[in-house]
Amino acid sequence: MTLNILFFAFAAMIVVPLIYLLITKNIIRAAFAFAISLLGMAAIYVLLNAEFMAVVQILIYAGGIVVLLIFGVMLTKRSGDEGVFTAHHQVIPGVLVSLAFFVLLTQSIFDVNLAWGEEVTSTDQVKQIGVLYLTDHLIAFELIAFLLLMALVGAAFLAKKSDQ
Amino acid sequence: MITFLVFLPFLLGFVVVGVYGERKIAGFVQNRLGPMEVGPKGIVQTVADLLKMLQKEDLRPKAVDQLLFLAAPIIVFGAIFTGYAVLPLTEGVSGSVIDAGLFFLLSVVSLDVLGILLAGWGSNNKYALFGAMRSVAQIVSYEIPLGLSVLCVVMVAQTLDLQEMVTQQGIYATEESFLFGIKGLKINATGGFLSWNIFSMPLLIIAFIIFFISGLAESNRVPFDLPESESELIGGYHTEYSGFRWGLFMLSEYGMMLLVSFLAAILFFGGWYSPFPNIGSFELAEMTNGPVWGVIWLFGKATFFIFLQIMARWTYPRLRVDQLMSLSWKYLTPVAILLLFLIGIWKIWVIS
Amino acid sequence: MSKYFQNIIDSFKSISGGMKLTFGYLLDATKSRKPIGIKEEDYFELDRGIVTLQYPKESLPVPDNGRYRLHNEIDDCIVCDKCAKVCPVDCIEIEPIKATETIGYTSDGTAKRIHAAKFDIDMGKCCFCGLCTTVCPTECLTMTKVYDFSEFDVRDHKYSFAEMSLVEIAQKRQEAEEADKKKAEAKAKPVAPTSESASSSTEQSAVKPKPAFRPKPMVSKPKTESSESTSEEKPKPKFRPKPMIKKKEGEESKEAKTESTEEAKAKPRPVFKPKPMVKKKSEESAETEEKKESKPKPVFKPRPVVKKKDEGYKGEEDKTQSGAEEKKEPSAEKPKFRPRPVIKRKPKDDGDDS
Repeated sequence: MTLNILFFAFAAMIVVPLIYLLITKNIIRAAFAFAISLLGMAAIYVLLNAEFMAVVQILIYAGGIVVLLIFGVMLTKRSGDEGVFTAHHQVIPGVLVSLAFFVLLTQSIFDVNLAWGEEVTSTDQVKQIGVLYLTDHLIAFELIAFLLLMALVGAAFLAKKSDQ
Repeated sequence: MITFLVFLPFLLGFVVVGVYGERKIAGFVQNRLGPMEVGPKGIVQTVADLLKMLQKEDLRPKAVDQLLFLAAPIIVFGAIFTGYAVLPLTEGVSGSVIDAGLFFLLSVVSLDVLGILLAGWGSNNKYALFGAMRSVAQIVSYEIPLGLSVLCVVMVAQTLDLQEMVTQQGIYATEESFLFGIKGLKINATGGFLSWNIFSMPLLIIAFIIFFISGLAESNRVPFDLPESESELIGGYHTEYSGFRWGLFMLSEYGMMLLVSFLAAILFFGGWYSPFPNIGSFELAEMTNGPVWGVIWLFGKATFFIFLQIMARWTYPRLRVDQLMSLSWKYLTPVAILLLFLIGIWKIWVIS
Repeated sequence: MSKYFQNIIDSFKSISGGMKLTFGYLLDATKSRKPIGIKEEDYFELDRGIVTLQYPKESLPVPDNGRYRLHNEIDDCIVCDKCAKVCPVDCIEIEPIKATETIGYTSDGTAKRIHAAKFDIDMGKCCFCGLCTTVCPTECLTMTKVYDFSEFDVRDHKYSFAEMSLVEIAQKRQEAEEADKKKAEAKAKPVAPTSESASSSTEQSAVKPKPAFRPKPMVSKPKTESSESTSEEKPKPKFRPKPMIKKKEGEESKEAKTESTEEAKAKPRPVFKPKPMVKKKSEESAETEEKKESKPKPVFKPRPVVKKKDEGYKGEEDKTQSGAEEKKEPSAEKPKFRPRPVIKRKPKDDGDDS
C-alpha cells in the first residue's frame, strides 16, 4: 500500500516537472525541472529494488547531463529574462509525427505486457552487473569504452590551442 | 532514522564547535588567541554568532529568480546531507543498508553542483555566477580523482557497502587481511591499526592523499576555495544570500568537510575500529572495540581529519584557476588511474 | 617529462614545509607572551608564542617617563599662560584673574600672583607635542603615563584643573577690578617697582640676557642689565624702566630664556596682567620709552622679526637645555649685530636635541 502511494508520488514527481518543462519559457528552470523528474525516476528505480540503476541515474543524468545542459545555457546566452521564443513552422506535420510516435509508444508498452515480476532478491547487484558486462555484453562494453576514448581525444584536440 | 537522530545533531553541533575550533586554530597558527570574550575562552562565541545570523533579515534582491534563489540552499544542503544516509555509525549499526552505498554517496553528493549552479544563476549577480561556474568546474573535475581513489579502495575491499568495508579492516573481518599486502603476514587476529586498509595495502597511502586533496576541493575549502574567494568574488555563489540561507551554505560546506572526513576514516583508517592491536595474549583490540567504542573511534578519526583540513586552510594559499585544473587533470587523475592499475595487479597476483 | 616529476617533488616539499611551519606555530601557541615592559631585559626575546595581550585585562607597563595625558599641578601653577600660547592646537584655555597681592608660593619658591579662574586642557585636541610642558616655568604642567583615557562623550576630554569656586572667582574679579581702578588713579605717581624686580633679579639676571637678544627692542634692555658693558649700541640709562618687564618674565619662567619670539609677542600681555598696579604704570612708561628707543633703531627691527619666527619654535623646545649656551653666547656675540647670534643658536639647539 505504502509502496503504491510512494509510486504515485514519485510518478507525479516525474510528470509534473516535465509538464512544467514544456510550458515554461525559462531555460534554466526547464533544466531544473528536468533534474527533478530524473530524480523521481531514480526514486522509482529504488522502489523496484534496482538501487544500482538508481545511483547510476542520479550520477549520470542528474549529476552529469543536467549540469552539462545548464553549463551550456550559461556559457551561451543569458535568456532567462525574456524567455525563449520559437517560431511555429509546419504545425500540422509536427502534430502528425508526434501523434504517430505516441501511438507507437503506447502500442509497444501494452505489447510488452509489463507486470510485477519476481522480487529482486539478490543483494549483490553490482557484482552481477559487473560479471555480465565482462561476459555476455563484452562487445557493447568495449564499444562504449572505445567511444568514450574517442570523445576524450576529440575534446582534448578541440581544447588544444591552435598554433596558426 | 539513524541519520536524522545521530548525524544531524552531530553535524549541527559539529558546525558550532568546528567554527570555533577553526577560529581558535587560526589564531594559534597566527600567534593570536582567537575568540576569547564570549564565555570562558570564548567557547560560546559561535553560538552568539549563530544567534546573530538567525536574526538577520532574509534579504531577497528584487532581480533574483525567486524560485531558484530560494531553492538553491535547500538543494545544496539536502544533497550533502543525503550522503550521510549510508554512513555506518558503529559495529552493526548504519543508516541505510544498500549494497551500492559508497556509489550512492558519491553520486548524491555530486548533486550539490546543481544547487550551487542554481544559486549562482538565480542570484542574478556576476560574482555569484562566476563563483558558481568555477565551483561546478572544480567539483566536476575533482570528482574524477576522488572517484578513482575511492575505486582503489573498492578494489581492495571487493564491496561497495561501507559497513562491510569497515568490518573487513579489523578483528571482526571474515576475509583474510594481510599486513602491507604481503601474503605471509596474516593479521586478522591482531587487528588494531595494522589491519586498516592503509596498512594492509600500502599503495592506498597515495590513494588517500589523492582522496584528501580531492575532498578538500569538493568541499570548496582553502586552498581550493576559488568559488567563494572573498578577495576576488566577494563570496562567490553565496554573495547575495544572508541570514539563515547563507547559514545553510555554510552548514553544507562544513557538512561536506565532515562527510569527507568520515569517508576518509571509513575507507582508509578502519572506520569504527580501535587503533589498538591485540598484543599477544593481551587483547587490547577486544577491549577497545564495541558499539559504544565504535562511535567514539569513528568520530574521533573524523575530527582528526577535520583538524587536518583546518590546518591546510591556514597553511596554504589559494590556487589559481589554471593550477587548479592542471593539478586535477595532469597530476591527480593520471596518478589515480595508474594506482588503480597497480592495485588491481597487486590484488590479483600478490594477495590471491 | 622530467619537469613533470620535478613538479611533483617540489610540491611535496613545499606542502610538507608549509605544514611543518604552521604546526610549529601551533605548538608554539602553548607559550604566551607576558605583559613585560620594554625595560625588562628579555623584552625582545619573546619572539615565539602568542603575542596577543588582552588589553583591558592585561597591559604592558608604561615607563614612568611616558608622555601621554597632561596633568597640571594647580598648586604650583603661576598662571603664566605660556602653555596656552605655545600650544600649536590651542587646547589649553586659561582665564587668569590678577591677584591684588602674592597669593602664595609654588613648591620651588616662585611667587604666585594670578588666580586661575579656569585652567582647561582639551585632551581631545591635544597633539601630545609636549611643548607646553617644556615651556612651563614651574614644571607644574607635566605629561603623565596615563594613556587610556578614552571617554564616551567627547566633552569629557576637557580636563579642568582650576580649583576656584564660582563665588571665589566673582570675588577675585571684583578685587582685581578695584585694584585696576586704584592703579589708574596711581598712574600719575612715579613708580618704584624696582624693589619687586630686585628680588627676582638675582636668579633671573643670568637668564634675562638671553631672551633679550632675540627680540631686539626688548632684548637689548636685559643685556644692559646683566652685562651692561657688552651692549655698545644702547645706552644703559635709557633702558632702566625695561628691567621691570624683564623681571616679570623671569618670574614667570626662569627656564624659558630662549623663547624670544613668544616673549616678544607675549611680553606686553603677561606684563600687564601679573604686575601690580604700580608695575603697570612703570611698564607703561617703559613701553613708551621702548617705542622711543625703537624709533632710532628702525633698521634693525625688521631683521629681528624674521629671526623670531625661526627661533620661536626651536627655542621653546629647548629652553632648559640651551640656557647654558645662551649665557655664553651673549657675551661673545653681543658686540656684533644682534641678528647673527640668533641664527647661531638654532644650530646649537638642534645639536643639543640630537
